[in-house]
Parts: sequence; structure tokens; C-alpha cells
Amino acid sequence: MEEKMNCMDKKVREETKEILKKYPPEKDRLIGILNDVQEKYGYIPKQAQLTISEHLNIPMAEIYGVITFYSRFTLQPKGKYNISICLGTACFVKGSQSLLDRAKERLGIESGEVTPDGKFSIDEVRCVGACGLAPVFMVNEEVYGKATVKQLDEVIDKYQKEN
Amino acid sequence: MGRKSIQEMEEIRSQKRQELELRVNTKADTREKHILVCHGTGCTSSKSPKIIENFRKILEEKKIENVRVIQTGCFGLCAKGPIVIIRPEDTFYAQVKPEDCEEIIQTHIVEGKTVERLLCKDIDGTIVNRLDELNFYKKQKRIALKNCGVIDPENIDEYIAFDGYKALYQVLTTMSQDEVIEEISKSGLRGRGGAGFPTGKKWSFAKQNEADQKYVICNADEGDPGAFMDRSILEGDPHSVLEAMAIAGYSIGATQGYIYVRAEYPIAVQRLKVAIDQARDYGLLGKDILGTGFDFDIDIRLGAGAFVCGEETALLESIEGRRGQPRVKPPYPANKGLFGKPTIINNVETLANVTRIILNGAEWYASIGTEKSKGTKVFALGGNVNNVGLVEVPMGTTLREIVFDIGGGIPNGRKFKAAQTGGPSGGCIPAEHLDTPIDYESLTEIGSMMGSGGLIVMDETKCMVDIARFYLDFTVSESCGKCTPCRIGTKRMLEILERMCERKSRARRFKQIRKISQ
Amino acid sequence: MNGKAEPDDLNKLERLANNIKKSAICGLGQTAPNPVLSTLKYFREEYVEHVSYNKCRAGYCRALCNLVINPEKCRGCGICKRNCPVGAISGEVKMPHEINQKICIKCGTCADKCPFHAIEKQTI
Repeated sequence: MEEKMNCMDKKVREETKEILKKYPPEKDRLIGILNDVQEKYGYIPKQAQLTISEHLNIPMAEIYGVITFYSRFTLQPKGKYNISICLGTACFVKGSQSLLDRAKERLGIESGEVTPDGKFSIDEVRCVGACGLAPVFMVNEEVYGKATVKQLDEVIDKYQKEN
Repeated sequence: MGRKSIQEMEEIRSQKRQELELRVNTKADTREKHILVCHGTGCTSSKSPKIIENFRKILEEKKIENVRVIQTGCFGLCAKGPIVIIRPEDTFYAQVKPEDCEEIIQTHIVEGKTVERLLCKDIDGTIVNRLDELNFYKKQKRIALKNCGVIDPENIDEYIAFDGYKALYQVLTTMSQDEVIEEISKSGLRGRGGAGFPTGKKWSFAKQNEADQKYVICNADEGDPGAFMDRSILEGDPHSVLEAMAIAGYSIGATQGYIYVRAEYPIAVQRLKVAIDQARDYGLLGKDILGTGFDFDIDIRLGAGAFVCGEETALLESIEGRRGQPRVKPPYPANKGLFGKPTIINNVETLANVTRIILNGAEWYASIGTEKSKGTKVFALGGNVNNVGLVEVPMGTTLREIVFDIGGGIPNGRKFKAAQTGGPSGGCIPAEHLDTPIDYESLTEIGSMMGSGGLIVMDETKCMVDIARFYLDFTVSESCGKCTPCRIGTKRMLEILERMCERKSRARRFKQIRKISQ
Repeated sequence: MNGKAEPDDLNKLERLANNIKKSAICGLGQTAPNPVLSTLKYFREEYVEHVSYNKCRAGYCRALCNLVINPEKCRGCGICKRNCPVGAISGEVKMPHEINQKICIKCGTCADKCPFHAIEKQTI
């Protein structure tokens, strides 16, 4: 088990170093680097944090502080199917709150959480910029516009049936 | 490709302008047709890339030669997206699906007839052939959005064709720093990010400070939920922002610019990267721009999902790699900003107006709008309104005109209840103030504010207490935590509002208790 | 939240809002109370109704309203029943239908779909 852990850690370390190569070794580039890591893994692995800390000479606590401040950075991976519900004003006014409530009800988790089997997670987002299609929810990158609770149910059903 | 001299720029300009005449003139003398497809985020979510792909494929299969398919920025009428416009005739097809491409090519391009069923229907039911016949567009005046929907944002030559980078070399070759600042001041341009601070004044403060390095920052964080003005400008006309930043840099004495753009705008980021590369390639950014000895370069810095980073000092903290917590002011960024140096921070829309002011003159700009609010304002019209989309109107246009004439009124036969401007920092405007002219002072007087441009219309099915709760919920989760009034105060307010929205009133309890005890 | 909305809440809200405006460090904190202050200014009655009468006149606040089928307008077409995501609606064809409030999640789909506008929001 420990061997396996080290393998994963090594991989993350190497890949993070690749990302770091794209940037000059300056502390102010931290957020750009974290954005790349987040995009690659869907969260910021501890090993990535350690690598960045060493490389840029920033204390881990400070990196942790930055990660937890910005909503884009997460410490836990998201579910296989990340359901993001837009709560931007235009969508809210068209009823996206009921989509959020329904998602929470169906999946038994709160926003920002992942289901125990790792299959689903819920995210609240503020304005994906498709206000003409309000209300909007997304499953990973796929956008469902003019969404209804029924549609959300059907989508959840579909992915729940998958293995 | 490669560096262009001023002469070469002029050649590109006149040649391309002729080629693209059909984009703006229905009577252009041309045998070409251009099919313009909106490739902004909104329409992209509705499969406009597939539409572009299909058109190109079909044209190739049918071996049709004098027709080009162009991706453009947002046309504005998002409610009817995806939108396709055929030039030069300016035929406007709405809610086009990828399956419709075959018919459009066959009927419109080959047979020369309009596809009736795809024409846009105005709110009153009239079928419209052309963009400018729609009520939505009649009262608009597009200055900041001038190129959106006209040019391909990933083609610098198209930008140059419509006077792109002409303002920059006018500034570099014929105007002093003070003259530029004077012109911007005279125009009356005020910050479009929400605060409305006079832009010329801000630039002059920065210019006055002596320093070995100064910075120009474009605030493209656009955190207000429901606002997408800046996104549309960045996606549809990124060069206008780059050019304006270079002009600003010249006037204050800066050689480096940053565009702080939220990571949730991947298309905008992409367009900016392409635009910056192209500008550098032509020598319009970098060292010795157009051979004038002026150096200026621009880099992108991504945001990471913190609303507070739209506040200028929090933004500075973020670029410096830290938690985005605002700094106490004074000192103001113009004196001590990024890395402690004099810095100006301008909103995207503010910058998008700069080149027009330089080319057409401060007096022209000042002739539009009201006494204290000059020029135009872009609004993202959303919520319970028919024509959801992006509009640009002269300052002083009334709320009624925006909601009803341009916005097409409230759908489903419902009634107007309120309009929210200024996002989480703004206020609701009720029906009794519908005839308020939209400008900085008038809105503040009635308890709202201009804000960045998000304008959300609400009908009678909206609960105003819940709306207040909604905004506060947002503010509480976005509070940076630095100062007690915001960190704790907003939370207490939210708790009170949440109690109000649930049925737990003490008054009622007393009634129940009294009943039971009887 | 297990609190009680008290009549004094309105005053508290206003005082808080004004204090935050004066003392927050940055523009965001200073303007955060604006939506509250402006809705209080123009829609105070709605606040009072929420606090004192547990009423939401817009029919929006779920805890304060129920979706109810008006038996006089209902034609028993069954569209609402078919579209309800939780099966909260029952009724025979051409007979007035009924919503089971215990199951209803108040998503509003039925009201949106009803061609006879027979579904209304009622204060509890």
C-alpha cells in the first residue's frame, strides 16, 4: 500500500514540476500555477502543494491559505459527475434554486460535497455566462439550458444507472 | 507575418476595409457572402461551433466558393441565440440549429431566397428580416460593442480594417502624455466597473508620481452574477482592450500591463491569448512599438473564483500571489499599487471606449449622455424580460425604455415589479421609478447604483425579501473575512432574513399557545 | 435555522445595514447592505408581511406557501400529474386533481405546465 502511495506521489510530483517549468520561479505566480494543477487533477493534491512549496519557497500554511480562499481551488477531488448549478441572478430569478434543492435531495449531499461512492458532486456557480438559457446547470462541461427539475431528475437517473 | 511599419498598417487597413465593406453596408459592391455566426459563450453553449463546422463542411461539399463563414462575438440578443447573420443583406436568422445549415445554404445562398421559418419574430409578432429592424436594436448605440458581431475576434487584420490600432499610433506620433489625459478627461469618461470615478483623473494621478516602474491593469474579473458585458467585449473585440491599455500606458508612463481575468471565462482567456500573440507579432506590443521607441507589453493573470478580487486592491493582492483581501485606502493604487508602484486599474468596458474617444474626439463623446454621465453604458439585461441579452444605450435612457422598448417587456403576461442594478452592491428599483434616466447620479439618488451593468428584471412572482436574502447569501460566502463589520455583520443580516423566509414568527406562536391554553 | 422572526428583526436589520455601510474597509463591504436597504425602502410591506403574518405575497417562499389546484379551473387533463417529478399529484381523468402537500417539493413545474392556469400559490 505504501509503495503504491509513493508511486502516486512521485507521479504528482513529476507532473507538478512540469507545470512549474512553465513559470518563472516567482511567488506571485502561485495562483496561475494552482489553476493549472486544479485543471489537471480536479483538485490540488498534497504532493503538488509540497512540490510548489519547495520550488517557490512558500510555507505550506500560506499555500493552504490561498487554496482555501479561492473557490476554484479544492482540496478534495470532485465526483465523476460534477453537477454545477448556476445561481447567478438571471438564473436564480428563473428558478435555479429549485434545481439546487432537488439535486441536494436526490443525492443526499450539500454543495461542495461528494457522494460516498465518488460518483456525484454538487457545486454552486455564479454565472456561466449563458443567461439567455436561464436557468442553467452543467454536468462536467455539458450545459443544460432552460433546465427543469424533471430534466435534472432524468440526468441523475441516467448517470446513476451507469456502472 | 512579422513587425509592421505604420505604412504597412495603413495598407492592411485600406485593403481589408474594402474586403469587409459588406459587413457593415447592405449595399456593398461585392460578389461575396459572409455568414456570421455568434461564437460567444452563450451561443457556444447552444452549439454554435457545430453550426460553424456544418456550414464550412457543406460549402466545401457543394464546392461553393465566394462564401465565407466567420465566427464573431456577441450580437447581443441572447434570447434568440444561436444567431446567424448573412452579409451583405444583413438577414438575421434566430435560434438556428446545426441541422438547419443545409437548408440555409441551399435556400439562401444557392437559391437566393430567405428561409422564412428561421427569421426572427419581434415581440409584437412582426417578422423581421434584418437586425436593425428589431425593436431591440433601435434605441441602442454601440460604441464599446462596436466590433462585436462584425469582426472575427481572432483575426487582427479585421480589427485593423475598422480603424484598429489607428488610435494608438495617433497617440504615439502626435500627442503628448498630458494631451492624451486631457482628451480622456474632457470626454467625461467614468469608470464602468461600478464606482464611476473619472478615468482621466485616475490616469493623471498615476502620471504625476515618479517611479521606475508603473502598471496598467485591466480588471476583467466581472464578479457580479448576471453580468456578462466584459466577457462579451473580451470575446468579441479583445484588441480594443489591448490597444486602450497601450494608450493608457503611454499616458501614465507605464511599460507593463496585466489583464486580470476570471478563470471561469475560458473563451475570453483564449481570445485574449490569441490577440496578444498577434499584436506582439505585428510589433504592436513589446519593444519599440511602431518604431516610436515606446515599450509596452501585456500579460494575463487568471482569477480563481473570488468575487472580492473585483475590488481593485484585492485584485492587486491576488496578482501578487496572495489571498485577495483588500488593502486599506489610502494609499490609493495610483500612488502605491502593484508591487508598491503607481498603478491604474480600469474596467474592460471603460477601456473599450478609449480608442473611440481618441479617434472621434472628446467632444463627440461628451455630446452623448447626460450632463454628468457621458457616453454609453452596456447592460446585461436578464431575468423576467423577453429580450434577454446585451444592450448598449446612451446614458440618460430611462429604465422604462430599456425594459419595455428594448427588452420587449415582461413575458407570460406578468407585471413589472422591480429591476436590480449593481448586483450584490446595488439596489432594487420599483415601478414608480421606471422613468428614471439611467446615469450615475440618478440611480444613487433613488437608492441603487449603476454597478457594472447587470440589470435584472423581476416580475410579481419574485419575493423581495428572498431577493435580499439571495444577495446577502452571496456576499456572506464571498466575504474575505478581513474586517469585522463585513465578516460578522453580513452574516447576522443573513440570519435575520433567513428567519423571515421561514414560517417561524413569534407572533404566530403566541396565537397558537393561546389557543392551546384555552 | 431555528430562530423566530420577530417584529424587532426589521429594526435590527436596518441598524446592522447602516453600521456595516459606515465601517467596512472596502467598497464591497460598504455596499453589501444595499440590496437590503433598497428593498426595505420600497418593499417594506413585504418584510412586515413576512415577519408579522408569515405571508409571502409573491408566493415564492416555500415555507410560507403551498401550491394548490383550484378545483374550479382544473379540467382533469392530467398534464400536471404526468410532469410532477415526485408524484405528488393524484386525480382521475376529467376530475379535479389534488396535490399532496406532504410530498410536494414546490418546484413549480405543475403550475408552469398547466394550460388552464389552475394551480395557484396560497399562503399557509
